[in-house]
Amino acid sequence: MIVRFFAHLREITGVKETLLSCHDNAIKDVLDDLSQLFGESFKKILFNDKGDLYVRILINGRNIDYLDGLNSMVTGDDIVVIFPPVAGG
Amino acid sequence: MKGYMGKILRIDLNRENATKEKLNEKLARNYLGGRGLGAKILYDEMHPGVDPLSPDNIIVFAVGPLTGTRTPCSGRHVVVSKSPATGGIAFTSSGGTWGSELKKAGYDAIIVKGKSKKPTYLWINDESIRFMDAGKQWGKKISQSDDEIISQTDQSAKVLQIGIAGEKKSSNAAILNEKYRAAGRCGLGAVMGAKNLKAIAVKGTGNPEASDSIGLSKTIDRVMKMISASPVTKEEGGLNSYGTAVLTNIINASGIYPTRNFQTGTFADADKISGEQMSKTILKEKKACFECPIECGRWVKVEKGKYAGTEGESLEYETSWAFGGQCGVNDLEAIARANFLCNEYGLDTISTGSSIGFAMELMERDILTKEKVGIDLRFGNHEAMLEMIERIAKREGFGNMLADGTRAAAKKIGKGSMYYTMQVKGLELPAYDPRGVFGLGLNYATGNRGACHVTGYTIAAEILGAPVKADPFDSGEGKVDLTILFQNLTAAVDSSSNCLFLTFAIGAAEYADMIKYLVGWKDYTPEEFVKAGERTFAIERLFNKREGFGRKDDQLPERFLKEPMPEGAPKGKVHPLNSMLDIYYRKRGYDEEGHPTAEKIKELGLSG
Repeated sequence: MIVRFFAHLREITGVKETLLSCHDNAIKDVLDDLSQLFGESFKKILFNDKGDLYVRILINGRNIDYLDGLNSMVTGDDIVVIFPPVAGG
Repeated sequence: MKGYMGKILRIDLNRENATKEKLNEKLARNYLGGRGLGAKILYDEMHPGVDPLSPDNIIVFAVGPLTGTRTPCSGRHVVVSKSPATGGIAFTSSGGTWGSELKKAGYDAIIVKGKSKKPTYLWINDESIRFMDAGKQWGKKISQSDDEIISQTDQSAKVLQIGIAGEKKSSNAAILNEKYRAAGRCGLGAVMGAKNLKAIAVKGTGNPEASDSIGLSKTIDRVMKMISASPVTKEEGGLNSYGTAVLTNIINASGIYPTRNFQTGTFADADKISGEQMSKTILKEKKACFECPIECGRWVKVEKGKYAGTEGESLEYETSWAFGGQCGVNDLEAIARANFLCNEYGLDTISTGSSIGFAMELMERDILTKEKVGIDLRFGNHEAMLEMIERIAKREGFGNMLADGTRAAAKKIGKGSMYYTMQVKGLELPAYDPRGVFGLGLNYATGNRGACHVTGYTIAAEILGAPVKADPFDSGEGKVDLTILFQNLTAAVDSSSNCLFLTFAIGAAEYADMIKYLVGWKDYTPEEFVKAGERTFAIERLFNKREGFGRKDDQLPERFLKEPMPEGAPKGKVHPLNSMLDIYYRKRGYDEEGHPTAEKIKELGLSG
């Protein structure tokens, strides 16, 4: 599975993307793995003070809000994208 | 009535005459200013059927109650006229400080009619209005002309002007201010060019007053806290850190980054031309408009390579797409050069890039040949792309064919080329493929000025998840309601002449309070604010109805209705426009042709 980072997350992780081995995990497990890999500064940005997901997560381009949320399943062939709240026009 | 300057300046170019009239308070309350005021003036003072390039077309430069005050993000102005690209009403706005300077000079709007006998610029210095000879500036690039006009007027004057593209009446012509800011869309630069109106230089020494300074200060404090709390608008937040081009990777990952003239929604080299890449390479400085804490502007400079020396502001997401994915180009420095050229010639980057990508697809399909086009205008060939920008601006060779946009070009080329024009009502689509974001697609189809993302930027909800979350593939009543709300709120913000980026931090309640304490309308509510937007949208619809627009014009290019998206998250999807349009008209209170009904006209206090 490929995990790609956009905007500030590149500074926090130090990379544009990373490869993770995956055994039919839920995305919340992937976030745990990434937190172990990239440390506290990554873990802190994932959720806001209320415990809600702060970052946006796509699985193959689809936001997990419209899949199964943090229980959305990922496989080894998937591309996961994580980015902080941003905007443009 | 405070907040406003209370004065409208009328310019008759035929007679070189300037008169001043009072701004009617009821008019101000119903339409606010900016886009709404401009639409109302055009509706009341123009008869249908006017050629947009004739002296009878009216062009309005308007600001709003918030402009030039201490309220955040309040430097913008709006230009309203009949568009040569669409034949319908057009509004186009720009940032910087020209708008706030016009307010300080004492005016809420300038209404221009007629045509000068020779190239002219207006010099507005508070009460003094002069008609100046622009003969020496005609034919010059924007930066040179700007410097000359300032040296002839005042070092602190702000200049709004057209470039060579506007002088040559291209439907892709923009109106620039302060060299790098653009009221880009709908070809209103051509309207100025047709009037021989090169520029408007303005300097003001006044200041709008507030009705309740204490109430206003408290509201501004509240707004500033909300700006600082929003991850999008705060210091070192999304917009501040990366500018709008931060969207490139996100929109691409979502499968809706229009690539090679909307043939697909995924561009393999998107990261090479992204906001992240810009920050690491050519970004030199962040820039802010008048009273803006967000500072989303990007000053870029190319220091080495083929385009070394290219320097300037405003390399935005739309521009980086128009000369990036739209043309299959993955060279960020070439894209910076394209932006520079468009600024210098006064061209709309979206329509120009779209027109070039359209021609590239026609060459790919052998509908056009290299002999006909004159250069090898193929996807990915950035040298040819840059050469074609210059030819479009100067109307040279095949550039003359593309200078009036894709619809006009396709009518002349024939051979089925109309299918490959990515436009609505004659205005080219911006940087989101509607097959993957259904609310925005509905917005494209129903926007009164044509395919326009900022008419109702539902991308905020459908892709970015703010201020609410909305499934991009939902096409039901809730999505239509959301689209209408975005359109109405946007029209109200445009009529306040404020920056839309502030809406990532605040809502109608804060806008209403700023207006209430500034102007002195003690009973002003968020509902009235949004209603002003709905009224503006409806009067634009009535203007277009008089020009013959109807349901046949609220459409999307056939590609999005018939060709399923080939890859990415929206793979297999087309846009379900027809069903959404029926719901939209019903919820808006419009008839089956998309025209406001008698009941809706009465509700909004409009004359029919």
